[in-house]
Amino acid sequence: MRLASLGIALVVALLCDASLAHGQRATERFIPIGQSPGISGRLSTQGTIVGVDPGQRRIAIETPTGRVSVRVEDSTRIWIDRHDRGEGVLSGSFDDLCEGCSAEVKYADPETREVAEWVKLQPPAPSP
Amino acid sequence: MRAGATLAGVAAGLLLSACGPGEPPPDPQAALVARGERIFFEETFAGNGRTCGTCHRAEDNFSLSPALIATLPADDPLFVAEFVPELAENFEKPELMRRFGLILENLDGFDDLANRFTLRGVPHVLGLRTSIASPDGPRTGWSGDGAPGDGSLRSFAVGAVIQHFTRTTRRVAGVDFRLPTEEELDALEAFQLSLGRQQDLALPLPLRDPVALRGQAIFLDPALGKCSLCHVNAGSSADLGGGNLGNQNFDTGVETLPDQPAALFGAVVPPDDGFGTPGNGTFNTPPLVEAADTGPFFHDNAVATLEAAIAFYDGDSFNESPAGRVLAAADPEGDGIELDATQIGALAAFLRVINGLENIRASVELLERVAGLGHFERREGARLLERALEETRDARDVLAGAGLHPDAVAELERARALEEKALQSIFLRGDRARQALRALEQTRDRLIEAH
Repeated sequence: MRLASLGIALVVALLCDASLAHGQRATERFIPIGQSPGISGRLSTQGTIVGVDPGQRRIAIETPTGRVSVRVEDSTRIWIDRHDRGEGVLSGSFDDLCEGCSAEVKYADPETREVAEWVKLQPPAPSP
Repeated sequence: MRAGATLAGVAAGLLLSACGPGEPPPDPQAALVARGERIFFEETFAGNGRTCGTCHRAEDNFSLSPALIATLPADDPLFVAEFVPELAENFEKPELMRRFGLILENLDGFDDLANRFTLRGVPHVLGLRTSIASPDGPRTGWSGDGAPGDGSLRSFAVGAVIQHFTRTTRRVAGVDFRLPTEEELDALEAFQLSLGRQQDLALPLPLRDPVALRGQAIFLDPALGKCSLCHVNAGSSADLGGGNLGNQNFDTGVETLPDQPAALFGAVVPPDDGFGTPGNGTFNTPPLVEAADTGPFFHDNAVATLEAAIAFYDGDSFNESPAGRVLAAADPEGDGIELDATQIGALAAFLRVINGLENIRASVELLERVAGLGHFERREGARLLERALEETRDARDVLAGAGLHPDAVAELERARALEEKALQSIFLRGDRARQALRALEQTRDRLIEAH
């Protein structure tokens, strides 16, 4: 019986999903910059993109508390937030990350703050 | 003499209820729950007219069954896809909603609305305080990943508004809906956590019916029913031998069931890949105490009856699934779950009895609140009594549905009649409620030994 229990305990890692609490990405894209519940202001960084390095696939963001750098991987979701114009959100790519864009970044790992899980960006308003 | 005493009591009650001093100070948590309840049932978030209560119907145990859908008027907000032109395409599948209670979700993204969607039943939201916590964080919705943001129950409403409340499929916040405020999220979370059980059962229970008692033994037997491995105390926590794991996801093979009802009606339903994007095929474990009166069952409402839901675990779809194969590998005989018809019936009897006991607990709690109300709190009294009536009706139905405890069923009918009288009474509401309460307590004693 103990062996059976042990066997069951060992396979639990295979059977159960072991990922961390999972914020649903599908509806996340529709949430404007700075309004993600439980994330914005706590587990994300918000500011203005001041540097884009395509080679390293990194962006630098100027925030009220200083400059941060974050890596954008293939798995990072990029969304173009057009709520300020009353328009729908678009899926974006690394090429859409531009200096002067407002951006919010959620980290894949809030401890290391190294890789972005998602980036929401808002291009600067066109000059009159 | 009795009439005189009753009138004196009524007069005293009137005087007491009119007194301001001596009343307890307002309870901030109760106020938050009350605000959450109002939002849950009334707030449309400037969207298409739906509220949380549109799908999580109070009169249907905060779930949504095809039987209830059939009673709704054509202009109910549930049916917006049928009368709002902007939502006519790719927002719901109205025929499958009406026939099977299925709601459309775009859990893997909104880039291909015509082809990329899932259809899921509406899970009840009872007992959430006991059922969503896991060491990895909260697990909400059928696949445990129902909430955006931090994935919490508090954040769940934001995703629900975006998915289900929108005026158009463009889903622009501030145009097609407004997002809930922080305060509204706090209130909605408090209300949802207040619903149903606040703690798990402690099995085994001293049940009186021998069939239900045998069902409980099978449920707890790690070599036979194996149910409590994933449903500790008939809740939603797993303990596979190494301690309580909290709420977990498993791939139990529901998606591989043959002869899915929707498919038999010719509907093409994309496969549901469960947790994550892309999904890993796992789904969340629901609590079982509330199962008997919240069918249909499984994430896709694949089966209509409790007995069929239990029989699923005796079938090939489960036993050849990842979860079933692991159970078989750990079994000395190499069996997954093997049950005969009498054992399936006994398990169902057990689940029906504990569901009935939970209905009675809830009804008693509501009647106690009614009995404590002041004379002029008629509206609140009526609201609580209507909920008590529904709980008592459910207790009767889950027992009568399998011919269990005919004596208790008769007692529940008597309790219902008393609740009806309380609802209609102007002066004797409290007395009638207390009588109904006593009838329910007698019913409970017929189901379970005092412990």
